[in-house]
Amino acid sequence: MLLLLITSNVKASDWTYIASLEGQWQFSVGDDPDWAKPSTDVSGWDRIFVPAAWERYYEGYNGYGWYRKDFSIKSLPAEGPIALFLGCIDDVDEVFINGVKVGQTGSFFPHFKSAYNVERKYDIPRKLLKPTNNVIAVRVYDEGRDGGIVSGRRIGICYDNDNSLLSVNLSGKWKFSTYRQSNVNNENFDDSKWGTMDVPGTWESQGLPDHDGYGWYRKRFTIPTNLNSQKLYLVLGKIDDTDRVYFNGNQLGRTESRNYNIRTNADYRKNRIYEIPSRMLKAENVVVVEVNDYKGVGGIYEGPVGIMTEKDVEIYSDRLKRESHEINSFWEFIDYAFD
Amino acid sequence: MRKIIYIIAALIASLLISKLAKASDYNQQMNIEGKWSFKIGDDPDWASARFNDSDWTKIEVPSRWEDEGFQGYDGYAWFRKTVTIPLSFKDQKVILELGYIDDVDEVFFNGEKIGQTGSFPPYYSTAYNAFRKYEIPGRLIRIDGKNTIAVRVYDSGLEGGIVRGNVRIGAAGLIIVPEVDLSGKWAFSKGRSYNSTSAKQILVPGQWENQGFDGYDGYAAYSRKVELTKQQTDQKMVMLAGRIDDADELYINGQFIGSTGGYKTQETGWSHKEFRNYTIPAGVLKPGNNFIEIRIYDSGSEGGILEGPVGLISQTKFIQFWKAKRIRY
Repeated sequence: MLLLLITSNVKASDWTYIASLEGQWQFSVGDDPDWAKPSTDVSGWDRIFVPAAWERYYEGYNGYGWYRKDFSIKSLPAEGPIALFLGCIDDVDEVFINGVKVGQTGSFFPHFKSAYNVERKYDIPRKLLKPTNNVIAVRVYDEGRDGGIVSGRRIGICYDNDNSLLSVNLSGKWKFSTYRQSNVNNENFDDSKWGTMDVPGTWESQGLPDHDGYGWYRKRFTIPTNLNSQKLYLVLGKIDDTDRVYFNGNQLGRTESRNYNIRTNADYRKNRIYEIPSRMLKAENVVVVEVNDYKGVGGIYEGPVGIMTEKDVEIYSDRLKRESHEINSFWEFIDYAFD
Repeated sequence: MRKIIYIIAALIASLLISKLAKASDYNQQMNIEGKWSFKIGDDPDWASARFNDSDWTKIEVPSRWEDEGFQGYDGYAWFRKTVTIPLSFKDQKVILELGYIDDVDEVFFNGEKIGQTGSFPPYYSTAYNAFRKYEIPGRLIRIDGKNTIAVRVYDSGLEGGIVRGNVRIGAAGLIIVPEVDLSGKWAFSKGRSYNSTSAKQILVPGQWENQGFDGYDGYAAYSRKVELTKQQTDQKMVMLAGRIDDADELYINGQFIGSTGGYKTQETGWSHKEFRNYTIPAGVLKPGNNFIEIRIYDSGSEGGILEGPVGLISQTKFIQFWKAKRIRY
C-alpha cells in the first residue's frame, strides 16, 4: 500500500473538471473498429463501473474490450490545454473522441507492449468537443490478470486552472533530445534536427516507453513588451526526477536533492518556480531544461509551464502551500498508522 | 504496534473469507462411485461406446482390485461405466475425476480418448500418486443421454486399479462453446517452431508430461489444420487457445496473431493461470484448410495446453457468451 501511495502523482496543476467520466460506461468484449464511430449503436452493451478491473464483472477475461460513454461538457475556458485523464489502463489502450483518435499508450499486436502502470493523460484538441452529445470510445487489450480501466483518482476531461495565471504559456511542443551534446545550453545552439516532446507529458506516453536517464528540452519564446518592467518567474510544473535550467545561456536554477531517497527526497513531487533575474531577459529568449529520470516515468510531466508575474506567482504558491499542508497531514497519518 | 496487529488481522480475515468462497470447484456434481464393469486383459475394442460389456465382472470403484477378487493380479485391465449426464450440465465445463489410479491409465469417453496419466510399457512410467482429473470436451457429451466411460489401466505390481479418492463428474460453470471445436488430436514437436519430421500425436487439452514427454521443459509447438467454410471465414473469429503453461505465441497460416506471457523472454510466473482469447484479424482465415500453430515455452513442471476450451468462435457468439456469464451485483 505504501508503495502505491508514493508512486501516485500528487496534484500539481489545478485540474478542474469540464466533464467527470467516473461511473457507468457501456462495455463489450471483442474488437471492432466501427465501435469508435459515434453513430454505432451500443445500447445493447453491458454497463460497468469505471474505474475497476473488468474481472469484477467478467471473471478471468483476457483479450480485447471496448468502453463507450456519452457526455456533455461544462463551459470551456478560453485558452490553455484540455486534458483527458483515464487513470491506469491494463495493458494497452487507444482513445477516440467523437470518432477521432486522440491518443494511445502501449502497443497492440503484432508488436505488443504493455503500459499497465502508466497513468493515462491525453491532450484533447478543443475543436473536438461539443457542448452535448460527445462520445468517448476506449479500445483496450489485456494480456492477463487484471484488465481494463482499472484505477485512477481522476477520470474525466479537465482544464488547468493554473494556466490562467500564466502571462506566457509555454505548454505545447518543445524541442527534445536524449543525446548529450556540448553547448546545448548555449542560446545559439542549433536544435533544428531535434525531435519534439509535448510539455507537460511523460516521455513514456510519447514514444519512449523505457527511457531512463537524461533528456534535454529547448524552447524559444518572446516576452511581450508590457512585461519588461516586471519581476518574472519561470514555472515548470513538476519534473520527474531532477532538472537543471538554463536561461539565455545562464544557469537559472536546479532541483536536485543530494541524496536520492524515494521517501524523503522525492524531487518529482516538487513544484519548479525559478525567479528570472531581469539582466537575463531579452525580447527573444531560450530556455533549456536538462532532466534526469532515475526510473519509471520521466520528463516535465505536469503543468503549469510558462512565465508568471510576481502577483500571480504569489497566488500560485499560496495554493500549493495549502495543498502541501494537506499532503503533510496525509504523511503524518501514515506515520501514525504504522507507528 | 497494536494498530498494525489490527491491520494484519483484518487482512488475514479477508483472505480466509475469499478462500472459503471458493471451497467447491463445481456448481453440480454426480457421484460415479460404486459398481463398474471390469475385465482383466487388454483389447482396443473395449474403448468403444458400442461394445457390449454385460458379461464383465462388477467391481467396486474406488477399491484395490486385489480386494475385489483379483488377488495378486498385475498387468492390464479395463473399467467401463455408462452414465447419464443431466440437462443441467449443458454448456458447462465438465470434469471427470477418477481419484488415484495405480499405476497408469488412459481414458475414453464415448469411444474417444480424452486423456492419459503415466506411460504404458514399453516406456513404462508410474503415476500412482497423481490425482486424475480430465476435462470432457463438450462435443463428446450426449446431454440427457447415455455416455460410456472406459478406463484402461496398467498395474506393474502390488495394489492396482482405481484405488481411492473422489470418483465423480462435476460441472465447473458456464463454458464458452466453440463453433469449431479444436480439442482432440494435434501434432506436437519439441523446439522453437513446429517440425513435422519429429512430430508426435498429442491430445489437447492435457499436459505433455502425461503423453510421452515426461520431465520435458522448454520450447515446444502444437500444430493442426482446420477446414473452414466461406461462411465461417467471412465472420470475425476469436481463437480460444485455452489455459497454457507457461507462455505462448499463436500463428495462423504462418501469420503471428498474438502472445501471452514471456515466450521470448522466458519470464513466467502468472501466465499459466490465464485463458487465451485471440481476436483474429480479418483476412487471416481462408475457406478450406487453415494451419494453426501454438508455440509454447514451459519454465518447469507441467507444460502444454492444460485446459480448454480450444477452438474457434465467431465474435458475435463470443460477445453473447461473456454477456451471459457477466457477474451481476
